[in-house]
Formats: sequence, C-alpha cells, structure tokens
Amino acid sequence: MGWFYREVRWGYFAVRGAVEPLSEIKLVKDGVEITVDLPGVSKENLSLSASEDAILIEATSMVGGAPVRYRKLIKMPIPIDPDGVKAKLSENGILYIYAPAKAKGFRRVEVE
Amino acid sequence: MGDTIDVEIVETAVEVKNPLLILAVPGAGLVGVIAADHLIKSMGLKEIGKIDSPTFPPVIAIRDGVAKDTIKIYGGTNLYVVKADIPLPVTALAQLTTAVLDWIAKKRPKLVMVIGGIPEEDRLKITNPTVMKVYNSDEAKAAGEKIKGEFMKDGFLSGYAAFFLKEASRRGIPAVALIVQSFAVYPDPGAAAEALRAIEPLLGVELDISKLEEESETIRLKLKELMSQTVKAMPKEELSATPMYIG
Repeated sequence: MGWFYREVRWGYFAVRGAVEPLSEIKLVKDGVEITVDLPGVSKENLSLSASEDAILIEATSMVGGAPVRYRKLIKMPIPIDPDGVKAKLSENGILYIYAPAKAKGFRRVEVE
Repeated sequence: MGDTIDVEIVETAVEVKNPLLILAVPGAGLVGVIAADHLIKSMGLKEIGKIDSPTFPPVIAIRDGVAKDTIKIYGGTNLYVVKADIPLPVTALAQLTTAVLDWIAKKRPKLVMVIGGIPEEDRLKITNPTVMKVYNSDEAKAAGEKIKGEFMKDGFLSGYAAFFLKEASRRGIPAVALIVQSFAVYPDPGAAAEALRAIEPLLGVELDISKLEEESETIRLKLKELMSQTVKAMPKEELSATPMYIG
C-alpha cells in the first residue's frame, strides 16, 4: 500500500535541475552492458567517467527549444575495468556502454 | 478478474454505431500511448468521456492547477480511442479492458484494436521496426484487411494482447492486436510511427507521421516519468526481451 500514500510527480515540468535519464543495465558474459536514453544529446555535449564501481554520465541538450541537463550515476553490479569501458551514442540519442569486468587479478605464485 | 461492476464509464457525446475502437494503455515503449496521442491530435478527436474506478490507483493528472481524468475516451467519425495516461496494475488493467469491451459491445463495433510494443533486444539496430498483427477471428481479419504488417501465423501469444483478444472473442467482438518491435524501457516514438503507418489505410486518413518523428525527442523526455512508472507496474516477463510470441 506504499503507493497509496506516495506523492507521484509525473512530467518533466516538475523536475528541478538535472534530469535523471532512463537507463537499463544488463550483466553479460564478460562484463556489463548499459543503455541510457538521452533525447537530443550529441557526442560533443556528453561526458562519461568511469571508476571500478560506477559510471557517471553528464550531458546537455536542447529539446523542443528548451535546455535540458542530464546527470546519472550508475552503480555497477560487479567491479569493472574503467580503462576498458567503451561507449557509442546512436543518432537518436541512446547511449550504449560496455564495461568489461575487472580481471580477477590472479597471478601465479611460486612455491618455495 | 473481469469484474466490471466498479468501473464507471461516462460518455458525453452522441454514440456512434459500428465504430472502430482503439485501446491504448502504457506498456513496453509506451507504443500504444504515443500512437494514440498522435492519432488524437492529428485527427482532431474530441474528449467525449472518461473511465474511472475506486479500484484504480489514486492518481490524477494536473494541468494548470486543475485535476484531470487519467483514462479518457476520445471520439470522431466512427472512431473511438480509449487512452490511459497511468500504468495500471494487472487486476485494474483487466477490469478496465473488460469494462471497455462490455461498453463497446453494445455499439456493435466493426473492429476493436489494441496497439502495443514487444520488447526487441536489438531495437537500437533496427531502423524500421516490424509491425505484427493477430486477429481473433476471420471476421476480424476481413474487417482489418487494410491494416499493414506481418501476420503472426502459427505459435502462441501471451500477455496483455492475448488477454484482450480472448475477452473480445468471449463477447463476439472482432479484434486485432497490433504489436510493434520496440524498446522495453524507453518511450519509442519510432515504433509508434510504424504502428500508425500500418493503420493509416484502415482509417483512410493521412496522419502526418513525419511530425511525430520530428517531435520524437520532446516526446521521449515528456514521457520519461510515465515510462519509469510503467516499468515499475509491469510484470517483469512483459518487459523482458524474451518474445511473448512463440512461433
């Protein structure tokens, strides 16, 4: 019944400051695949940063003549290799990110 | 399921005989809702009624400080569009659907239609999503012969579209489900545009679909919150990339 008491504000008119874009995260065999819906965003106005446990997306765009600022911090479900992260922005503003899983880091140990 | 006693339908216009009805509820990619919105605007359909029930979520839309209904009936020449602007839990959705079908059955509809999206994992790579159609009878197939798209030939269909077709069949109403490949969790105006292209010949009007494509970014941003609420309300299997149709 939680929803009964919760105030739901729909519509971007109610949003103050940065808009949190919709996103989808999927665990794949060797890492994590993420897509983010960024209407109106071009490569030039997009910033992407990665650490071992999160990816930060910041972008700006003009949508319907109004400026929009996007910001989203996505926590990774597994540790990733930030140096191996690849991203591609489609023409219609959907960002695809592939983040490879961090190598297990096992190394051979000589036994004396 | 299917108890319509608590669902109230208020119709304020002169009723139409043998109409076409299009039902649009939030689902994958909000395909039905986006298509219905564009249809209402481009055909100049008038708001002629509302649907409500104490069992529906207590959510109202607010425009300029005034509460508005969230499930509305729009009408034009021989056409009704029923559009829900809120996601409904499964039971409420079933109640809404059966109530609408009971209401439209009295008008002896030519055809009733539901438009929806089917999550497609590779949607990002697809420029023109495929429109698939499934009818509930040969009579429906004849009534909707002008609808473009691929037939779902053999196999199984589950989920809301299957429920809609079954309930229409139980009432002897010719029905079609129009299902378009779409994003699961992002509003998909591109998929809605394909659905509209498919029904344009049936409606016999030009729907200025290029305008929908031009406003795609605005629509996606405007519907972001509805999409987010829809994802929370929908059963996980309806949003998964696993096809509902097994052929």
